Amino acid sequence: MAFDRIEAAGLILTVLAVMVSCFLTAYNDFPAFQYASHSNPYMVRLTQPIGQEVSKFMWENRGLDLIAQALVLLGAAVGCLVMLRSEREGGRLE
Amino acid sequence: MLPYSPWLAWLIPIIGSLSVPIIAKINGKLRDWLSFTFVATSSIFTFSMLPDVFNGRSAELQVQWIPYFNLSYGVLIDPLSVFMASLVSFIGALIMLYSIGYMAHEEGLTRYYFFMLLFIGGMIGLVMANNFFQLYIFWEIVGLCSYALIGFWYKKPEAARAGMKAFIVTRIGDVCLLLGILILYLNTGQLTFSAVRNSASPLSASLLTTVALLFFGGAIGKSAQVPLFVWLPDAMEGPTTVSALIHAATMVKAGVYLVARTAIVFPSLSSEYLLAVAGVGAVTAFMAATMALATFDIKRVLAYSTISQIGYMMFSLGLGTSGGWLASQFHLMSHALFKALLFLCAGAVIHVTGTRDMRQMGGLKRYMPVTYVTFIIGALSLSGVPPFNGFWSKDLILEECFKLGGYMGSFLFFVGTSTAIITVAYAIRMTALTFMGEEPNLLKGKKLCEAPNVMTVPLIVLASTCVASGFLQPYFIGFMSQILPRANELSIASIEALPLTVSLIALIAGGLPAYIIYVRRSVSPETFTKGRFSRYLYKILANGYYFDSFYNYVFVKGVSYISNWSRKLQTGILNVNMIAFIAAFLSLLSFFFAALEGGV
Amino acid sequence: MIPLSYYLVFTLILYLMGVYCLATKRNMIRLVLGIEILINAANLNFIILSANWKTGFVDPLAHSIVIISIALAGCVSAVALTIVVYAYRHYGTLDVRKLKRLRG
Repeated sequence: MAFDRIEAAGLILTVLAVMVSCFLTAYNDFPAFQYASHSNPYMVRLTQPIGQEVSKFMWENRGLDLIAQALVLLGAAVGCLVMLRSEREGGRLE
Repeated sequence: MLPYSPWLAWLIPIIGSLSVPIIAKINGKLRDWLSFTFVATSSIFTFSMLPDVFNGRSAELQVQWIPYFNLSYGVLIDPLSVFMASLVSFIGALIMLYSIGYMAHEEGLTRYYFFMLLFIGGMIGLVMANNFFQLYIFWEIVGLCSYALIGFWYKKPEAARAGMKAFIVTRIGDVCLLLGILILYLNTGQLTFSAVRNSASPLSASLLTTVALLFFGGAIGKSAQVPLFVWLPDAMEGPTTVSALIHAATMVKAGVYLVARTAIVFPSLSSEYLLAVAGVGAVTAFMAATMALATFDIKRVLAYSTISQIGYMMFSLGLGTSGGWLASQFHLMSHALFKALLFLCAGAVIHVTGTRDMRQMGGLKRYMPVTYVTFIIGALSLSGVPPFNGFWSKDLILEECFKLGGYMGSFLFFVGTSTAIITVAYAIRMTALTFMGEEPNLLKGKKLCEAPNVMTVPLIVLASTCVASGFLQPYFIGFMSQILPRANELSIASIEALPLTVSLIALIAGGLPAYIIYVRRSVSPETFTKGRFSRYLYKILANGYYFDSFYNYVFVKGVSYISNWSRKLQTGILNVNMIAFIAAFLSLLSFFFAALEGGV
Repeated sequence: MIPLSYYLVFTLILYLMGVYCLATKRNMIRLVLGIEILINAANLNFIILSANWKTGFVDPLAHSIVIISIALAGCVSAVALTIVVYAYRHYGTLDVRKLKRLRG
């Protein structure tokens, strides 16, 4: 395989980054964790199935987010369909 | 005072500008005349504020905006702001009337009227603002309109470049102004004029000097003083009405207004600040006047003349006395009137002959009598010939310099007088080259007639104000001196003998050589352009003391060289950019690694 | 109990694998997959940290963020693949290193 400088450089740098960051994460605490709040009223006990509890939470407290997400999904789908029209049928948007 | 007039004075033109595109769809003529009526209505409102302020009732109205930052927007009704607002709206109304005729056959007029109305509204809002932040917002609006109107004929590359140059050069001034406002806010926590003037704890002298000098930096940019004057001669690529309104009568006065307001609002002005203001003003006045002698474009002569006269106003403000302040404001009024008149006459000449080069003009006085007479009135006002208004205001400035005495007073008196000599010379040169003599061949083929009535009526109105407003000096002094904090040592009414004779001698000293060279044509100007030693002087003057070429070499060519050289660092390949990302991540991590695991 | 740092190291390795894919691969479709790996690593990080407050309890806010994020990742991939199809139609190749010029 021909020697590809970019691939070699990427490989070496990534391995180095993995080693250094794992070393740092494993042996140090993140200082930001001390400032997190521990009194969340919506905490869920692990005895119930998590899927049911999270769905209940989402529908009750984050309903608008779900509707917005559905719109975004629809918009992305429509946009992709518009962009993928070919020259012959429908034509391209200038 | 009509109800709500301080707010309506600047809201009407702005709302008018927003409705111009809608009205333009209905009818073109309706849009032209409706723009004029918007400005005329605004001028009625500003004039209605004059009698109240004349009787001593000044007020300040304010509406809360963001209480946390102590920001509010409001209007200040006091002699200085009402005077400037009425001046701006009056000249604006006349120029809108004129531009109905001047811009009749242009395309893109909707854009023109939109920006003109936005400009007039912005300028009136600037002078009526009651705190520095609002002043800065309107300052930027006015700068934007200036850029858009200079580059009105954007298809011409010179016009587009000139617009960009104006915007960038004034931007440098705007940064200084913003720094000054921020330093003032961070140190005192308030920005309104009354709060700064009556501040409970005395502000330190160094703070006041720093802020005042930064404000003056903004004024240098906007009012085209040395070293930031290079945008104004090139800004003449825009239409003549734009040059008349923005670059002669109103926007370049915004810097003078700011310095004047600083003199009123700040409790004390240090002598370093006054020295800086006076020095810059004096140098600019003299340099720009000499540059006007070597230019052949009629609008560029007027541009350099504007720079020079604003230098007069600045060094009059730099005297530091109440008399100097009043003299500079009076000169502001006279200059606005006669400079707008000169620009509008030049516009009529350009409209009829189709060229801006004075070497291709001549002998127009037979064909354009009204323009000829009004142009002569404007040129005589500019030179300071009695009894026109330029004489009264320029003589007042020179008297105040003389009264101050000492090193600074006599130096400024000397500079003022020598600039007056050169002013007379270029004024006569301009008049003679354009109107007198015989026609050159290029003009013989064209049909030369007087400009249409809608253009000559503003000329006549402005010329009559030039003649009459000189005699309003006592009323003006009484009107404006209510605002001054130390108004007890005023003795303006007396006319001293020595400055008067010196200025009259200066008139003759400058006028006689110009008369001989340009009116009688007995000595050719070629002796100066081609003479053995004066040739170098001519080259320096014609190139604007090489300010333009210096800025071009250092900033334009320098930056493009650096950017071309560093363009080679970017390949545009995604993989390379991601590798740079990993390398940056790694270096950041290694920094933390070395900091935390020092011992390992 | 497995300490938290093991999970975080796992997420970190996943993240850096996604970045390696973006930094090295030539094929445009592989780059889109690399973006997917990155998004998955971030989602996993959310879930891991939500279970870390008290033993036996879970914070559902992180789960709500992850649900939205998964749907958005799908949209991003769809649009990105459409752009890849456009680029293939224009340049004739799927090699991202050939797209160096600004002018089309």
